[in-house]
Amino acid sequence: MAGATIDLDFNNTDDVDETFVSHKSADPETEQFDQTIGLIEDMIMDEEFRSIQQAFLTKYAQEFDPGLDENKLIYTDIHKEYLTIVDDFVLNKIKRSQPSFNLDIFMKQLESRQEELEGEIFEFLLTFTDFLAFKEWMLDHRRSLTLPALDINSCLQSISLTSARGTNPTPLLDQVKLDDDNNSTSNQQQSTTLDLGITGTKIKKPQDPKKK
Amino acid sequence: MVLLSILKKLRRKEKEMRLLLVGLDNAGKSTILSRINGEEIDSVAPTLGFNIKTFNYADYVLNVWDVGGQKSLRSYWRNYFEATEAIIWVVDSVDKMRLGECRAELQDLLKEERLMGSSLLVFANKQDIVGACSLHEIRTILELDSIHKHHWTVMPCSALTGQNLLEGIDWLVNDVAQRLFDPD
Repeated sequence: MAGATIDLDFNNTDDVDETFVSHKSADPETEQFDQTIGLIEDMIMDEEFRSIQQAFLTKYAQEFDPGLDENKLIYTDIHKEYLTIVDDFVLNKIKRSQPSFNLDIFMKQLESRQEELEGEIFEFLLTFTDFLAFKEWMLDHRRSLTLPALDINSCLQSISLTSARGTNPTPLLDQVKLDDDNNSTSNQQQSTTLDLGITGTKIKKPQDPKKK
Repeated sequence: MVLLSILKKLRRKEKEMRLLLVGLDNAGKSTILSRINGEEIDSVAPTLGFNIKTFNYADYVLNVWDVGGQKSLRSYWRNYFEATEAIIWVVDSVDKMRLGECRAELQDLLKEERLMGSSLLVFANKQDIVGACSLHEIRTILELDSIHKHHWTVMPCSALTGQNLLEGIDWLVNDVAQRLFDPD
């Protein structure tokens, strides 16, 4: 578990099935279960989820110190908040699509069918709960803020940042502003699906007053 | 964290244990961890956050969470109780002035619901130093014999010499293993 790296920027999703729609099962219970699993699988590709992740990175990466051997206590709080966000996102997505969804039943099904669930999707979900993997993800992003020109991992986000600031490293305060500008672009694309249902978390989507 | 935490329990890797390493500041927690892990121990600084070390012992993967013990940090310990199978409580056997404080913190910790059932190893550290409290004294002052809801043991040890460190881990791993992986 130590040093495990995960690809959380979702560039390599070529070999992931996009949907489960074609999968017909014998009984309704199995069918709904498979549909639920399919919805979770789709999260890998979900633009909305990726933009939530980006907002999270932007908000918290500066708390992570690549020069520090030990972990700051706040890393734990940030990780917990992230897990809450992921959890809420998955559950709300399922509930939007399956109004009759019942978490307790789903959990029982998961338990009884766990032998069937060797798929990478659950490894994917479980990597969220791995603190060390989470820390590396945040640190990678933190390093990319310090050295934009050398960044490879988050080039998706950095392209617009880099062009906006030229080649000079930008002080953190300014970066926050730049990141917000950057994120408002993706906000516009998804403004129709922003019913995130995320309650009790501190994440706020950057608002662009010009759109109001 | 409903879904993810349940998933994690379902898919819990076999033969993996989470150990929580706590105690007052300057007890030697991080030094013990470094020593077990075969690292240099002469430059260990006070822990202000936490360390995680993963190592293999026997057939098991041990994830040890070492959280700083300063007074201002102790209220954060609770953030690390989840899924803890065993507690290593480290005592500075030389710091007689604070053994009362040490007892209070330990007894408080053991009331935690999320730690119910976890095995407890008390390390009476710094036995290499002349004047260190004896095992008997530690046992009495910390009121260890009043502990009934946890499997526990107390061992004299020295992070400096390595005395009893592996013996302690061995006891802990066996105790957890009997409970978790060998229910018969």
